[in-house]
Amino acid sequence: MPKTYTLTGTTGTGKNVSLPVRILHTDKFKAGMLSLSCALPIRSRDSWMLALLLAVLRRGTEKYPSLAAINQRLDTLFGTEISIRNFYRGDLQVIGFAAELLDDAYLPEGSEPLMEDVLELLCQILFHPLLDEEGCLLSRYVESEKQLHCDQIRARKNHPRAYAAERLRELLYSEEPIGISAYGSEEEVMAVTPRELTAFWKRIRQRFLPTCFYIGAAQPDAVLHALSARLLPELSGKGQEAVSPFSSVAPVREVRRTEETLAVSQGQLALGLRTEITARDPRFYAMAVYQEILGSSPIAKLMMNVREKHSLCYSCSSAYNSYKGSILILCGLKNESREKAEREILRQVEDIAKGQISDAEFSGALASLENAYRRIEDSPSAMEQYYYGRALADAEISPEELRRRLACVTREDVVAAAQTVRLDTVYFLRGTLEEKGGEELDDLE
Amino acid sequence: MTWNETRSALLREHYFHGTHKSGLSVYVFPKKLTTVYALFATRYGSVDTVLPLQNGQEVSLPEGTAHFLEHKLFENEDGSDAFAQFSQYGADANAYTTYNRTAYLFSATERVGEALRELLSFVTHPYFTEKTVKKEQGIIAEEIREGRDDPWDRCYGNMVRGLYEKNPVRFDVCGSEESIARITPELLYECCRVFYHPSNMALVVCGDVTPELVEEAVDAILPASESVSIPARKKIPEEPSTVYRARVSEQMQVAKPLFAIGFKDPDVSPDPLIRIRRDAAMTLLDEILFSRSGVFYNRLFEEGLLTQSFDAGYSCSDTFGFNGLFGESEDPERVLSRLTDYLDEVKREGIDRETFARCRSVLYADEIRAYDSTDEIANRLLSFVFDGAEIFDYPSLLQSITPEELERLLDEVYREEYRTLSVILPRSAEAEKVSLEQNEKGSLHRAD
Repeated sequence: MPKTYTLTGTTGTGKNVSLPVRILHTDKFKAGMLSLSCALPIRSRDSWMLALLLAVLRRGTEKYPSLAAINQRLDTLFGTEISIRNFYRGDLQVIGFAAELLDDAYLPEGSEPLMEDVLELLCQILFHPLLDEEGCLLSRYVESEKQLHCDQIRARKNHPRAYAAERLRELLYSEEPIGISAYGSEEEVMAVTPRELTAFWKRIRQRFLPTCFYIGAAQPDAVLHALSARLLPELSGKGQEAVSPFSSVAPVREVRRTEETLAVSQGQLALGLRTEITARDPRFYAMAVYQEILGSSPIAKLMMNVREKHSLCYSCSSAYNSYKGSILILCGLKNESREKAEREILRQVEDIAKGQISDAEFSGALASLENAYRRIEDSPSAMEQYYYGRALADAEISPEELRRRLACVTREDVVAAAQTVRLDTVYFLRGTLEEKGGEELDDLE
Repeated sequence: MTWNETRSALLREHYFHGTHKSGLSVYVFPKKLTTVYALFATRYGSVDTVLPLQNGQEVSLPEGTAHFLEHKLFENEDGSDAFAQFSQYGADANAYTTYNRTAYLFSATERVGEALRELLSFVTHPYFTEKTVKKEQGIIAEEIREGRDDPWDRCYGNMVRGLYEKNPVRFDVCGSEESIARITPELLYECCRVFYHPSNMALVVCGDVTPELVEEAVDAILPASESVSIPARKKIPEEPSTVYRARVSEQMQVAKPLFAIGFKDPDVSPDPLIRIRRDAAMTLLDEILFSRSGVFYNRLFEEGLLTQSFDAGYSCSDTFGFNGLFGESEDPERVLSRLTDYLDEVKREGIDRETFARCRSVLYADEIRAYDSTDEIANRLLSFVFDGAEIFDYPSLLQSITPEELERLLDEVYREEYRTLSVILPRSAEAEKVSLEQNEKGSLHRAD
């Protein structure tokens, strides 16, 4: 378990703040991970404005005025990698930056420790973006990132599987904050001015009271010292509203079906199911086992039946969103297999609810979860993701404790959990290209 | 089994190697992490398209046979599935096929000895019937379709097909629906006999394990092999050094054109030590020329000619080698002409020594970081083993490369006659129109 420290001090604006810092000290890895994250309620417009803002901030700072300068600085910090964090967790949008940095023990002799320099760069990006004479985010960067953002909106269809999953989420969560588009529309995005984005940045910066996470070999004292020297003075200390990923409730409604087409060769069937069980429910552990049996373990029902028994697809799997209590099932197939596949998928869902779970399926699911949660310890980013997620859900337990609770789940618990699952949304992306043969290349052969 | 230990002071790592009496090469890389990752692999991939028979004759294999076989080996004679057995150990099993190898693998955190036995056992006990082969054809057909709908996959594959005229590297690893329809149980059995002899294979295990534990599992499953048959020699047709097609394009469902610019390496050495040096040099040259901190990317990115999706990488084996640049642009032809200008500029002015040092330190850090995961270690070690090179030599190899060496390489490889531009274009307006009309019909469907 990471140790939680509270960093207290005075901000640049003279206010006293206390900042939660989680540190897991370990010398198991050659590279450690540092993250600064902030969770905000998902709000329409803010959702994509945040994406745009983070991208603009990454373009240039006072000290490192261009993307090239930032990247060259990262190179000199022995290939430290920083990544933008922007994702939804339940009703919350998590934003921030994460850095992966080489442990000091592996730096060439005579090198300075990296921690303070990496933090300095992160703070430059977050709090000191390059501004013009009028104090506005550089219009060249804003306009360029608007274009790139719109490119991403248009490119959503490049990957049919991911696109079908995204469309399913939009339809399934149409009445909840998580259904708010993380992209916005091209018209909205293109209409944003540098002045508006600057005002938005100032508003976010005032509220930005990050949760810090560090996993690696640096001594906790050194990490706290670096944070206190580099980060604290930058904060404004206004603090943020209390937030929860569980604030909205899923609607109970009739099954909704949508079909669309795309000029691709394979169809994509996507099913959205709902359950009232979320991560803060005592039945969460049974639901996790259910999800393994249905579509995640190596011998999951979807894999063994839809793929192996009926040869309907290459991949068919499910994913459980424990913040929302939803299960998403995806399957790539021939258009004409669509009805049969849907029937087969729903048959598996019903079978579990009727208690049709073999010994192998049950023990395989438990073993698969045990393995998955033990493996978390092998990766700083997996650990960070696990602990940050548990903290957000206000259910902070170690992976060992979680495994212990999973091991106590009985078959009856799983069947009871299965009986809460209901179908909500069916989405089909029909491929409109010829089924047979690849297309000839224009200039080849 | 006699174990030899190899150490790296720089990386603070070591591994053991031994040859089992079956002929199998075994590598154990101890690592104090929770996950044990094991790979059991054969030097048989999609480029091996000729099968030597016992009577001295040869048959040509349908494209995609190695990959098909990879799928089928998981099925046991009693109708059970190897996945089911692994799942009882909590092990996550999988497999993959590349141009030049097929690898079966698992990762596990407990019961590693049992999982190892299962891995060695299912791969060496083939069982195929007409019925099971037929069943797999449907599944793989969907896998092929999935690949066909992936624009980056197509862009890359088309580039390789543009670079190579005869080398089977141009074939898709999965084959085609037509080619896999020609695969029979007899053919698969014969492929197993020839390509899956232990002496053509390697076992690599990385994690908190001892050589003794691994040896016990190998002893239990693999019998001693009296006469070690010589693995089939790869027969690769003669390939011109220049490219087959300078330009290839295809229309797909993409918002913006994708491009892949390939440079065919005209000098792929049969000597693995020379090859590995060239690999390191090409990788360093890519970092200098095309990294996110470099002049080329930043110039074109600031002009709006490139997006965040941009990457470069060198691939090679004993029969082919090429460098690829991958990105998105409204105008791939302009990217190509800017690339030509940029390469001329660097050829003229030489490589900036400061950039050289900076890029080398980035690769040095990448190399160290690669030893933080059992998965990555095992896969890299296997690559080095199959290439005939020593993994721990790589960091010092990188250090020994000089700017002058890279400047010579730049002149040698970055030439027009070795270059192919592959482009995926958005579908034409006409194709879009048909799709739109169907979409309107589709939305009517929403009402039910």
